[in-house]
Amino acid sequence: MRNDIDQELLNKLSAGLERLDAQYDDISPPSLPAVEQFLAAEALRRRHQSRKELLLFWFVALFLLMIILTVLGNAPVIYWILQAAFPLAALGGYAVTRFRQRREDGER
Amino acid sequence: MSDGTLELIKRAQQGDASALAELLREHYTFLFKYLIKATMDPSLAEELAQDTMVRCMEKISTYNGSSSFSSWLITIATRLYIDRKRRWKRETQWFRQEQGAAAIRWRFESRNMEWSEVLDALSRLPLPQRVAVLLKHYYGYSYEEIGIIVETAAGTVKSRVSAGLHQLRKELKEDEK
Repeated sequence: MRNDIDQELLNKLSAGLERLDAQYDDISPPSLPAVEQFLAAEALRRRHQSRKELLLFWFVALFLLMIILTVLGNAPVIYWILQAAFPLAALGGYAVTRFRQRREDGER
Repeated sequence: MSDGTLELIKRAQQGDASALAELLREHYTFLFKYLIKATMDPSLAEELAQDTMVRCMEKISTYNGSSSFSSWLITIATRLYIDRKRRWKRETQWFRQEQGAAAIRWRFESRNMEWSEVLDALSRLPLPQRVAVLLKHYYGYSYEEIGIIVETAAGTVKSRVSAGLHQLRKELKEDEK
């Protein structure tokens, strides 16, 4: 009995999805030159973006290195406190994110 | 997979941009139709189809032929969809869901076709259940294959399919009353 009900539901579902598919039978894929142009533009955008990100990375890295060397030279105690605080903050942040994600997945 | 598709994949992996474009164009309709059913939102399906093509362009060299090319596209598209929804706020999710279903309903009505209750119920299922039901009972993937696509255990997929069907049954029964 339960199997019959399930089968009926699955038949309805397949029929509904086939009708939905049929609604979009008339869509035509983009033309070949349009796809080529889209991919070329996207590849160029990605290249520019990664170059920009690399520059930003170097800039931030140099800036941080400069600060670290300055603090190490002038206030070594603060330097060692920061050395301990940053990994702890990162671990705490990671744990909170994991906890939130699990809770969201559980709710779903 | 046809020999033509295999040849296109091979050329695309060697860096031939026009082969990649041809390959993606060949699969565009399949991909778009999958995304329409998974998202129940035509404009989101179009955005995700484009994102999938871009991701495919980046990852084509990693495609190893262990699954069909269309399954590979489904995997990329589904993961992009899950990722995008994760970043949306709850209100945005609800709003887009309603808007998407309304657009599909309008398409049915504008062609004088009756909107299906089962599709309405399917559009209200949570994303993990809808994708699991769709891949299992429309595309015919096994629980293990779906697990690989959505990056979760086969047992979890099985319970999502079962919960999804249970919810559909419940909603359809309520509509009949």
